Amino acid sequence: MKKIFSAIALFCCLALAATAQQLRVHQGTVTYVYPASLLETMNYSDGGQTLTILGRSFATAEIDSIKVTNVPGTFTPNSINVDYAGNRANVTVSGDIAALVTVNVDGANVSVLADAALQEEVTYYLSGTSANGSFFMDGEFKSTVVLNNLNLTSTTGAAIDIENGKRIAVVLPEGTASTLADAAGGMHKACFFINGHAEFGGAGTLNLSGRTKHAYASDEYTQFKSGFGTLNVTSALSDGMHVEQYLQTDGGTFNITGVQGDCIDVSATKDPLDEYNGQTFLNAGTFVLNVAADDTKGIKSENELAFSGGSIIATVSGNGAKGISAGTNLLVSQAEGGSTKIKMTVTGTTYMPGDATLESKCRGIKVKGNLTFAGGFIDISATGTKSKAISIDGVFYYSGGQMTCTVDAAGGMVQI
Amino acid sequence: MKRILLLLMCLPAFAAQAQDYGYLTFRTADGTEQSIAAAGLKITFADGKMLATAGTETLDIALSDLASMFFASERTGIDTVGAGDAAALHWRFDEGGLHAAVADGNTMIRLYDASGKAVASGRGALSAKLDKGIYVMKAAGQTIKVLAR
Repeated sequence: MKKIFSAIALFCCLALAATAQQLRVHQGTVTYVYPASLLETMNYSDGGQTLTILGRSFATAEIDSIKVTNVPGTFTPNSINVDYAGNRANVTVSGDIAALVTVNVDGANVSVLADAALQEEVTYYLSGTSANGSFFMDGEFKSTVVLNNLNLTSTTGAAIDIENGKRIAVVLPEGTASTLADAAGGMHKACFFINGHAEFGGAGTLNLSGRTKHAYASDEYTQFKSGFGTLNVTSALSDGMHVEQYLQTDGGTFNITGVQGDCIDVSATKDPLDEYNGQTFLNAGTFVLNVAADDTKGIKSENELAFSGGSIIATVSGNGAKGISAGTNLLVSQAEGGSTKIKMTVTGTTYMPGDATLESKCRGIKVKGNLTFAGGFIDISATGTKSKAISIDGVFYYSGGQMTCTVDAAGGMVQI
Repeated sequence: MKRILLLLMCLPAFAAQAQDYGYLTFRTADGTEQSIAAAGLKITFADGKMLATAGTETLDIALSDLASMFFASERTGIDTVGAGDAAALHWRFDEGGLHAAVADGNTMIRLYDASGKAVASGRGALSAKLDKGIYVMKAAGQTIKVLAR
């Protein structure tokens, strides 16, 4: 038996020692990596001024060097690694996609444009630290972005701006913590912006600070998968999370504080045909929301909001402030064996900006449609003149659950 | 049984190694091919030339002459295999093996097997009885692939 274990150990050593022969083209801080096994004839043209490797043409005058190396491990196709290091970023592009991507690096500001012909998923691995860096990406096929202990502060715009309008999977590997901050006073929408639909996964942590507008924003839906780790928003001049189309959470912890807009704002897109437009589905997750500003909400959903699992602990203060605001219907339910908890502490009186049409009252929960309470626990404390625990414009349907409302306000009440 | 197990487990690692090429070969517009060891190879471009360096071995070719490059398992010679001459290097085969000579009697002629191992050398002239296989002969800046049948 010992010999078998010895053999296994030997195998492991040999496997680790196995190397992959690569041809690496170095251009500034960008390296294009080609497994030798993939390469056939590499042609020179234009009197040697151009070298073409796997369909990508390099100006030989712009090549710092080409090296043949034997490196441990295996080659990862369809990948781009960006490793930030102070005022520079080292980018490694897998050769199989090199012909279809354009990489530009200016200091630690990196942009990657994927050609429309690139119809395979590319995985971007971002790591390292820069106090003066950013990442921009665009393309026309779904992509994955892995944040691996990335600490990135932009001085020019968004820390991460993904203009690709397709599905963007954002992965936070377990045990990692990434921190992003954008430039102040910019024109960009968010510290971390995704133009397409985002799907967050991984058990790691992401910390965001929005110094121009939102901390996180997506122009299409955003989903947080089961097993998602932690999203911390430490500050935002506007919303902590600004999601268009719809938001769905199936897990994770969301700590949002220091925002001057809503902690979570879900808005409908301009296309009325978009699926679940303006809706919010909180199936699981822990939300700890703190906001102290006039006319803000813990969670604002332009249309329906369904809360079926997890907990929301919101502390909201400011005139016109609301813990939850549903533009149409609100459904609160609890799956069998599950736990649904809402605890709201709201403080404030009526927000009166001078325009009567913009006046807004302080509410624990504001529902412009119907409220269906089918299970779980709701505990609301409202303090402030004319504040209310719950305000429902439509009908209240009760089929289960426990509700406790405490109002300390002249004119305050539970209105059902 | 255990030995078989050991052998099977070792195969993937060896397979990974087996993909490596020993050489990078450059082909110029006139069809000439010159190889250089791939291990530790570094290529740069400057002053209208391509300079390849691998250990103590160097190769420089005018950019305007370059047509292509490719990985090769064997060091590729130039011109043809068989009797003939390449500049100052002359060679022929007979039953006694390979015989090569250069006009300059001080020039070293070296013969390598396919693995890159030196198997024979001589100053000004070289004779070697060869086993079947592919060999590379270098002298006076020339590289010749030799096929012994």
